[in-house]
Amino acid sequence: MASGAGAVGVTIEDLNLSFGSTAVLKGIGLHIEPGELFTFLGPSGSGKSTLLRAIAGFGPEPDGKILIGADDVTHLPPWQRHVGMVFQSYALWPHMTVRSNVAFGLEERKAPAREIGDRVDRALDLVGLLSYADRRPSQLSGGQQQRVALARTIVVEPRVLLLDEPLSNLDANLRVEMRREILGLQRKLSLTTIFVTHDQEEANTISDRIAVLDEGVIQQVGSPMQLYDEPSNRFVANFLGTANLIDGDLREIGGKAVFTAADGLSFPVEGAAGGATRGCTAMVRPQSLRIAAGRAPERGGFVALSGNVEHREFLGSVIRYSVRTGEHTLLVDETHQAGQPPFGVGDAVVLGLESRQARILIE
Amino acid sequence: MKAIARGHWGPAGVAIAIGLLLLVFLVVPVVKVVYVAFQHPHTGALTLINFIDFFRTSLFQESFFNSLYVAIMSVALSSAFALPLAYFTTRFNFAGAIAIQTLGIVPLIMPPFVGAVAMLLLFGENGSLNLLLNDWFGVTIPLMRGLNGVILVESIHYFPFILINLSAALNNIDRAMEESAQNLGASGVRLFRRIVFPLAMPGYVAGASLVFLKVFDDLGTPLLLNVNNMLAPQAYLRISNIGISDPMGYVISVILVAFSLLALWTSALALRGKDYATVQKGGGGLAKRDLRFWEKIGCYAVIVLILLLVLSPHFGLFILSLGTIWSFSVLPDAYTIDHYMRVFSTSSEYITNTLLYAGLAAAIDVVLGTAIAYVVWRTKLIGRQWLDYIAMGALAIPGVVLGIGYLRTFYDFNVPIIDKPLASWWVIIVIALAIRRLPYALRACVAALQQVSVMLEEAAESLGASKRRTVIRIVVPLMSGGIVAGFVTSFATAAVELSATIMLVSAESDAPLAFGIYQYMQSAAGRGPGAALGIVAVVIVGIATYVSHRIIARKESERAPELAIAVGV
Repeated sequence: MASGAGAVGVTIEDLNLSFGSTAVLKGIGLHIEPGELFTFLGPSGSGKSTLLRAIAGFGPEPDGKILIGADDVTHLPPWQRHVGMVFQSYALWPHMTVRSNVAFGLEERKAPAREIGDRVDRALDLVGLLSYADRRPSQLSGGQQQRVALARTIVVEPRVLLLDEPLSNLDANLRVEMRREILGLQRKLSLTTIFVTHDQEEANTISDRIAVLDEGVIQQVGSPMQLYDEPSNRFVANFLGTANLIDGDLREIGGKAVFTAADGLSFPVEGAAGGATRGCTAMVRPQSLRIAAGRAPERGGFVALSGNVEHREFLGSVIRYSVRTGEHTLLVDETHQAGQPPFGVGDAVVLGLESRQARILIE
Repeated sequence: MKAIARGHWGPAGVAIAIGLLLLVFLVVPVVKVVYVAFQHPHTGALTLINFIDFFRTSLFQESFFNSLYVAIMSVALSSAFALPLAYFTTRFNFAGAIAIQTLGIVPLIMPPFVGAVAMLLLFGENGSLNLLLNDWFGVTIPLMRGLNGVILVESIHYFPFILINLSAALNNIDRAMEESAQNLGASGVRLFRRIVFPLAMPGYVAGASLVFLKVFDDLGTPLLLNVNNMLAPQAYLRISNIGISDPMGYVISVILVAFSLLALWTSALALRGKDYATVQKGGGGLAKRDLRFWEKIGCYAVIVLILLLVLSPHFGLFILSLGTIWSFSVLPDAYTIDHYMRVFSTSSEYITNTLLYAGLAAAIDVVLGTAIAYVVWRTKLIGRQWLDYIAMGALAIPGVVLGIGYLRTFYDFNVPIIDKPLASWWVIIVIALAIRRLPYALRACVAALQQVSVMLEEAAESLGASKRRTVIRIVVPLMSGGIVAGFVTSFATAAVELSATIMLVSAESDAPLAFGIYQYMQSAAGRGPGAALGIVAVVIVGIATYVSHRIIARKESERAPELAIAVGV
């Protein structure tokens, strides 16, 4: 199997791609490190699958460059790229047994029969399906088919592993199990891997780094935590989790940056360099707001906002309140503990915001 | 409780009635034919003597091998027509791909024996093509001599079965199947041989076995081309010349049925457990590629050549119907509409009879088809699948065999009021047509019923509609597109049926179109009117097919959204 020392990176330079007159990918530039598990995350129609397929050599030929390691593969047909792709539908050939499916790529590479047998056995063993080798794909469950598809791809020791929404056809429990398995396999083989998904939880749990795509444009690249805590725009802020977004201006008062919203809500912002900016957005995650009854005195670094509970949702680990304060409706998550009475709709509450938890988005 | 009891008794009564009908008009006649084949002609004891006699007679041996040879060669030639058309139109971006596919199935709307005479005039010994070849190069090609003629005519008529099935199979292959092979290093011919072809194989086998079955059983074409040393013509000639008690006709019938079953079994075997026709998520058919200029020229050349050939019976027939004298010349000497005048003034009975018979048969078929589909798919009656099996079994019964069976079974049965044997009453023709075309209507009805979600019925029932009311107000209206399709398929194919009718027509005044064409075509002078009648048949079938397409398309666009939801659940 591939070893970490042989892992190669993937570089994409100024990639543009259209279906007819519709531009699907616009100016994509990326570098994926050797051995990294990298995810393309975006809603449907964002171009994430198209980008993955372009790397594999499928779809219309793009403008720009795709490098695997140091090789320019932009104009190579799929069968000369040596990248392994696992398809969303698994695409196991129904007329072949599991063993012949897995052996196919090695046969195409004209490997000696003995070696094919050994390597197929090892790959099937790795995914725990050696005893199913002589079955047909239709006799396997969804999860097993997924494993065969993985084995079929990694047995040829591709330079890069591409996974196109590989978990979307599995049920919820199996999805969690398979994503751990994929991660384990990827770490074991140190195989540069690109994973496509529309599910931010899936992306967060599995990825070293994520590129968020929308409308054919990369919105932001970063580690899952970076993207969640420091989104660079409203789209990323919303796509990675629930966010309160407040429009306003950034002003400089007494050498300090202060965010001011239309209705007078204002708070100092730390680390927002660059001086005054008109028309920006403050992002606050619901769990960064504290909720308490009555009126709390102001403390250093805390902003207190008075309001009333408009709506309440019980989500299990937290209770999500929607609180009306001035012109804004803010979502607040409070950790739920058994026996603790929740606030009721209409209750007067005070919200505490630690100002360094607010992030200013300048677009 | 009352409603439940009624809900059970209704379907059961219907099922029993249909079962009896199939028993009397399908099972009993066929069993009778088989029984007679194994019966000693004089003593009546069970024996194999008839089969031994059959295989000892050199004419029958020859007929047997000729039929087999013609069927196999027709499959080969049909494949040669269908493969390029199916492959080019499904794999490459092609202007006019739909037009090509549509023209490709036009041959089906003309019975093969109708085109046979036109083919003789175009490709025969002294036909247009050979006259030209002889003038230019001094050679002739015996395209229509003996068995060659049968093979050519049958292939041109039946190749659409392969085209339709193979195209569907190719179109249904998930693109990811191909892409994953490319991703693992396969391309070009190897990709086709290892992935695309095996995945399309079930579709091809289904089409090919249908061609084999149809050609093996066909009576009209060899009869019209005067090739009598084949099985179906021998069966017909024995019964019509020697008489209904001659055992050889029955032996041949048993052989025809056996080979038909074999072909159907092969097809079922090829399709079993190989439901490849599943375009999965992210699929959508094979990737289509653009052709380079010269590739395009080559493809179009092949396609045009094939289409010209397969449409030649239509052109030929049309010219023949308008020609005065067409003999030993490339084209007729002059043109006239006299043939049409003659047909409409003296032979309009053929046309009205056909509309009556085919219309009645198709109506019976959709009623039976809807009822059987509902009983089989929506009730839990014990043994309900047997209705489906028996009705579909009609596919394996050649027209000649059914005809012989009816003659044998119903000759002694006098219809009370008109006082005449049932076997020579015109109604028997309608029944034969209905039984023969029932499988087509049934499949259309089943497909339509499967599109109707059970939940739509449950919704009606929960709002207080009884089973019967639900069927009338919800199920049948939702199935109407499929029912119309079934009606038209049955009607169009019944309108040009010859092999069963030719045995059951007892008076000229009761004869339908196909029989009339056959009668006309027997003499050289009758060819013009025969061709005119043939064109009338083609027009009737063509209009019916077009109308059904329109109706189905409209129905689909009307309910697409609701149906999609209902099916998606």
